Amino acid sequence: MHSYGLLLVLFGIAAGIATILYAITVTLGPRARNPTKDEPFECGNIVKQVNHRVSVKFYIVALLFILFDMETVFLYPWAVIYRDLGWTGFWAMISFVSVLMLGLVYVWKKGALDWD
Amino acid sequence: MSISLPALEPLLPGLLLVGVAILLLMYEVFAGQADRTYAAHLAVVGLGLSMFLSLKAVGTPRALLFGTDLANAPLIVDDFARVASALVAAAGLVAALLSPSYAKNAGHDHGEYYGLILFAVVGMMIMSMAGDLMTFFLGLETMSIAVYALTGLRAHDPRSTEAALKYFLMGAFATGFLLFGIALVYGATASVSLATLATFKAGSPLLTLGIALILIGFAFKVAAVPFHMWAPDVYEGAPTPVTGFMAVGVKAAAFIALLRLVHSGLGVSAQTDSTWIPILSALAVLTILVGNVLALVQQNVKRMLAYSSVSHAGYLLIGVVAAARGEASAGSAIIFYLTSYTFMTLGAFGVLTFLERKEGGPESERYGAFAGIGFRHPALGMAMSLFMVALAGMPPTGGFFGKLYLFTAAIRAEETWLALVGIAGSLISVYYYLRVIVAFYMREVPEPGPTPTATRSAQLTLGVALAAFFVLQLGLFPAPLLALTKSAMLSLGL
Repeated sequence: MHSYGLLLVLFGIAAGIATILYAITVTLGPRARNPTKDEPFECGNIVKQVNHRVSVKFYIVALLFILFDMETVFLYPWAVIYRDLGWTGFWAMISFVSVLMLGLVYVWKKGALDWD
Repeated sequence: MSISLPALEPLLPGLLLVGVAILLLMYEVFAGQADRTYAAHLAVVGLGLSMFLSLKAVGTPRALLFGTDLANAPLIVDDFARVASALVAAAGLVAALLSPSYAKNAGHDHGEYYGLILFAVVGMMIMSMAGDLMTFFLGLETMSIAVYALTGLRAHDPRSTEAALKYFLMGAFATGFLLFGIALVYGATASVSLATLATFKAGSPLLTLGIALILIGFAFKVAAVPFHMWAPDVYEGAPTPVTGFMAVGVKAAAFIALLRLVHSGLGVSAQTDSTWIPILSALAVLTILVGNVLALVQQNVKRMLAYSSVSHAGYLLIGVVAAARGEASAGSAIIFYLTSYTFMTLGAFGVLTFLERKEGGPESERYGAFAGIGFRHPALGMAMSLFMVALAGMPPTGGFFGKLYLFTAAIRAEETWLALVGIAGSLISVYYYLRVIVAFYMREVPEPGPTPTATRSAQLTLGVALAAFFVLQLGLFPAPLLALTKSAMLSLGL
């Protein structure tokens, strides 16, 4: 259990540093309040109502990218020990990649890759 | 480690379902039709075939996949796994039958829906075959991710979205606990294989903590008190057939995996160490009492069934305690109970699906909304009465024998007080189950009378009829299933 104790010390130091830094800013930081500072920051624009939705197209592409990127992670260790695995490894990877490809076909045909 | 194609044959029931699911997805994008009843039919055929293959293989020797002995095989296909696979496939089959008309009515008639059910069933099968904790975890996630998506399908209904979000967040937390528990167990024993864990004597605090965290993960999945808070909201918001599928499939898979864990893995240390038994007993008692009492006060039938499913998890936990005590009959009692519970709960949700109205909403799920249905639709009333009587555990239904075997096992394991708590819980439950029958038959019919059955269809009728048939069958002739569960437990080495 000794090594776990060291881990606890690490956590303690991390928490301590965060606490000390926060305490320093709270106690030493200058605070000059004025009405303008209390207003919401608007970057020079006039506040106006936004009541239409904005479609975020990027998220689905990003999501799919992460998904397929994660799957390729399996290819690297496979490639390293490819010779040792022999035909079993080959067919296992073929079936894995085929399922992955069918997934891509599905996503494509479903229109998830169309920008508009 | 060389695997030839014939060596994969024991996995056929699962591989078949994966194939059908992929086929459904491909058909959906290439030749999709507006009416997805064909997808339901394909899923039902696939699940039926998979169930048949699983049952046909019962009695053949155990198959170890991707490993040479118990200690390193991640997948163990024995009779236990085969019976469990058949059970979850049956749950998926009935759920798929309940779905087509409901999906059309609720506006989520997608071909992917059935694909997700199939993927969830495959995940459940893997959970029942898992020879080590990581494989079990993979199966659990395969199941869970599919079920999260199914929960949120009624995207236009805020209740459904709430349900999906709640279920996902809670499930993610539970997964975190489970994974951390697995990590601690690995840290204490340097192995995740159940067979290797069985040789360890408990005593290390790390191992105890790991087991406790794994148990918390399980408790979340089966909605055991105090980890049940998500259940009512999720059950209420999810599409009704999905609720039925979740209530039985997820629960069955989790209990089956827990049973294997208790028998072939950590259970051995549980007997010497007995940390498990107090924890499990406390969980069981709390779950039975809280589940039943909260079900009493519900006004919405779906929520009532959610709390009732919580209390059934409690009864099953009694069985797990008995199994951890080394009682040989407890395991087969749990499988029997899960089977009868599967059919009566899916049947009850099937009847609710029948009565779902176009506009939906919580109002149509209150007791009052079912006034006079028993006279308007006699067959439906009979079926619902049967399911309620079965859930309450009265003869001549499968529910009676399920409870009988479970409580007998508890008494044999010298846990008489747990059996008494279970019986007390069942007595409380009679009140709220009978309340549904009272609403069906003895309430004034409001003017104008309820006009449900927008979701009537041949598939739905077949699903409810199948469920009713099996509930009665298990109540009148319990011996065949009991023999099957006994051979399943024998394959675990009991």
